[in-house]
Amino acid sequence: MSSTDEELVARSQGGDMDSFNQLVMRWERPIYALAYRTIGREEDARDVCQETFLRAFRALKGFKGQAKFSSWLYRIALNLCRDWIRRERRQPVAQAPEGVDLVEMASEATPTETIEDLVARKEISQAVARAMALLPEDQRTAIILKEYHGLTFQEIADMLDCPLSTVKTRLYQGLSVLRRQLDRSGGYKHV
Amino acid sequence: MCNKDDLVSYLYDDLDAPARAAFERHLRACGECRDELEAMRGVRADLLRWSPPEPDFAFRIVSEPRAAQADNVLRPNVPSWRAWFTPAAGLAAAAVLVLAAAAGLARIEVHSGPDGWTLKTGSSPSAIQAAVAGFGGVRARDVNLSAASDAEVWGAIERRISALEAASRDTGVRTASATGARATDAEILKVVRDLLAQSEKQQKTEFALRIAQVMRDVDLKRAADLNNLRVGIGKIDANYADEAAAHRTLMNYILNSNSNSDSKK
Repeated sequence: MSSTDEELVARSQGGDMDSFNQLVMRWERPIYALAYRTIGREEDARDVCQETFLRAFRALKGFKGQAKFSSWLYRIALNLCRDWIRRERRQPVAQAPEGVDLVEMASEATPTETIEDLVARKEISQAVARAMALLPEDQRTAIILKEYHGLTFQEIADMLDCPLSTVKTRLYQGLSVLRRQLDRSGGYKHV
Repeated sequence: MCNKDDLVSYLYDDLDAPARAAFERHLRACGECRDELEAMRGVRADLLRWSPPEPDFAFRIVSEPRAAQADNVLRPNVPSWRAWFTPAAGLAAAAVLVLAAAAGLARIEVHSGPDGWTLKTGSSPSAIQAAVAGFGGVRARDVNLSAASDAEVWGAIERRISALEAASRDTGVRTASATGARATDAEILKVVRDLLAQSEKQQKTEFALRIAQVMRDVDLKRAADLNNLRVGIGKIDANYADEAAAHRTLMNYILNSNSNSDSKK
């Protein structure tokens, strides 16, 4: 039976590096996904992911468990993403290649999926990435934390230091903008 | 005016039973909210189709072998996710070489600890500490790498050399007046000054040589990268040419087939 985050954190605080590495393995994908969806660049998202765990390791002694370990990690990662966006002084990049490589994509198709379905799926993914990149940072962050990481409204409010109603407003506004953007992309929907 | 907070809460199934029932009653009466809810469910379905690329993770925390010291060195077990064969990586490597050369010349120690990286100049051998103390108690200076630019680091080194020279002059003068052996002490002082000047000159010369070497390496690396790019572009051109030729052949075949069939008719 695998240990809980709290048990691994306690052992890590006692100097057990293997326990901390178990936490890294457990959370590196969600943290990377959060960083990638927030800043839109693979390499930079990996750097943010690495830096998140380095900072967590350095600050682990000071982690008293007031919040969940994952929430603490998310907060560190979001701060790093914010730094990145301010440093680069630009909106996140939607990595959407112009052309569609059918040969490469064919290997990704599920057994029941035709190549047309696969192209449509890729197009939707790219359209979503582009639309998300156009959102203001606070709305994008709220949507990412809710949709892809399943945080509660209260957890998001705590993490972003804002009232619960603000989180809901950001979600509503963000989803409304996405709806308009995706409608504008048109053509691909409901395949 | 409809309550958008309730709409969002309903969308994410975050209403308690009474509030949910109330909002569903509202939905039955409000076509605008029904349409909006449906559209947002569609957006949520689209959002789920956006997946991040699958990364190749290799990052782990490892402890530094010199565990006798309290500091842990934090590093990934692979150098970085960055590709080391890129031109930018060559420049980064050059920068590291320059820093290493400067560190070697100036007796700089670089430490990593829980508080980050620290750069310490001129402090490591105890003999040097004793010698420095003998010249009027000039102490090694700690410079925080994160805050200090290269110019500041070199400024610190220059200041330390000047302080050593000044301290040696003071010590020499005091000793001479006490013993009355002015001529002998002046000679010693001159020798010390000469040695310091010689050492400084040698360090600068060596540093310049190393910089030149690094620049040569960078140029070579850049030339190699450019060559690789040219080769790559050439291959792409060749592939396109092959494809274009195949297309032409196919088109000719189709045209010929059409003309043959037309002539038969």
